[in-house]
Amino acid sequence: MTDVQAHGATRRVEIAGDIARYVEAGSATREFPIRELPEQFIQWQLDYKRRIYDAISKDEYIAFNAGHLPVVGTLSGEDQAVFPNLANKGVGFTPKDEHIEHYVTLVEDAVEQIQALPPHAVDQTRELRVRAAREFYAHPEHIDWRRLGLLEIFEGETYRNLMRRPFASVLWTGNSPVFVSYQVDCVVEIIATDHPRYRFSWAMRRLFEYEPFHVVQTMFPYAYTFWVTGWHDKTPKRRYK
Amino acid sequence: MREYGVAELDSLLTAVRDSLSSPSPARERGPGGEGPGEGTLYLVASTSHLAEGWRERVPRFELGADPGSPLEAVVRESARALGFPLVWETPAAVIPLPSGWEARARPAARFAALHLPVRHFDPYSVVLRLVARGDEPDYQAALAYLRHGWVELVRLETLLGELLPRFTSATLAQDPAEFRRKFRGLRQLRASVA
Repeated sequence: MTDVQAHGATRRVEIAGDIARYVEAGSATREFPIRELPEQFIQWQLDYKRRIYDAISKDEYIAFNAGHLPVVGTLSGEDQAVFPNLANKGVGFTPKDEHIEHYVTLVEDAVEQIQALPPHAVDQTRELRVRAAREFYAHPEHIDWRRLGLLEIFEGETYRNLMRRPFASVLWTGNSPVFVSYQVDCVVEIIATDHPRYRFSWAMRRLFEYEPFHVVQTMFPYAYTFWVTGWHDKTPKRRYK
Repeated sequence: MREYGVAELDSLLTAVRDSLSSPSPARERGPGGEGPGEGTLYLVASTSHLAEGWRERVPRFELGADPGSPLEAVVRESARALGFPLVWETPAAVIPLPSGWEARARPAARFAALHLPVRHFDPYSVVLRLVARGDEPDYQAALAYLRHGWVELVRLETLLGELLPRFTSATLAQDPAEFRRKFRGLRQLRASVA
């Protein structure tokens, strides 16, 4: 975790088992129970990712990656700010602690092989890249479904808000005709570049850095772990018979 | 959260076969592997796709048989013993079946060596049932049938035309207006990925 300074007070999020503790000026101000995402949402994610990997492996056009690009809402916490900040962010998942070294090695090894070729050689490396990503999502029992993994790119409004107030809501909306929709509420831990979860998220990003659906980035100053504390199924349903 | 592959499906059906083969005077097997009154064990939806190698994993096994078949108790017990999640249902529990459904059930070649009467439930009936529920995985499973040529959209629409007058708006799953809306969703989805 990373200490952040805001309004003169040191703030941090600590994780102890299934509790996310928000600590300000050395003392815990609030505790949040950490929850696992619901099975229906997990299955939607897994199926969506498999379809995306199928499309990547066939070099097909991907109009939008709804499973990966939800809207993240944050609040600044300042008295005058009445509106949340909303931004689409790339959101993935990370392995359970007991499996993370295995998957970091797996994905970083793939990245190393890719880097032996020039960046434009995406066609030559596609199979390797997709295979590495598929391997992770082929074992949902190895994934920690209590947390989300994000990389910070721009250090913009979301970043500034999370430095002041480490809470965020994430809203996914799937495609027609079902429009699967989930809001997930999270306590946010900011993690530095040497953390295994940062390394994993960064390596996963690099697998697909040069695919058309990514805007190429070279620097990610932080990663975030979004610890899930609640969720709501917002998929539209018929209300009246 | 975990998922199950074809190896686990093999284990489940082997356990079912072993259980049915256990000594019982009432269980003399017929030439197709069936015992008296057992009927056919049907693979349904994603479980069919798993058996055919269209997908690698499923969150649960979907199986069924004719109502009242003793297979239900045996399969449920085998799944429980192995710790596999099971949904026991055929489309017949939800929608009226289109004519000729029995003849359209397909052999499950993978399990021929087990000498169990295992077949894939009529793909057209399954697709109609999936559309009736209309969740995201249902559309994806329906598309898989279309993609692999087990279901043709034109024939599906013909069967649907025969079937809709038999739907009743007494249950939401069969509301003809709602069903048409969902079916258009499938058609559009199919067109978008064709």
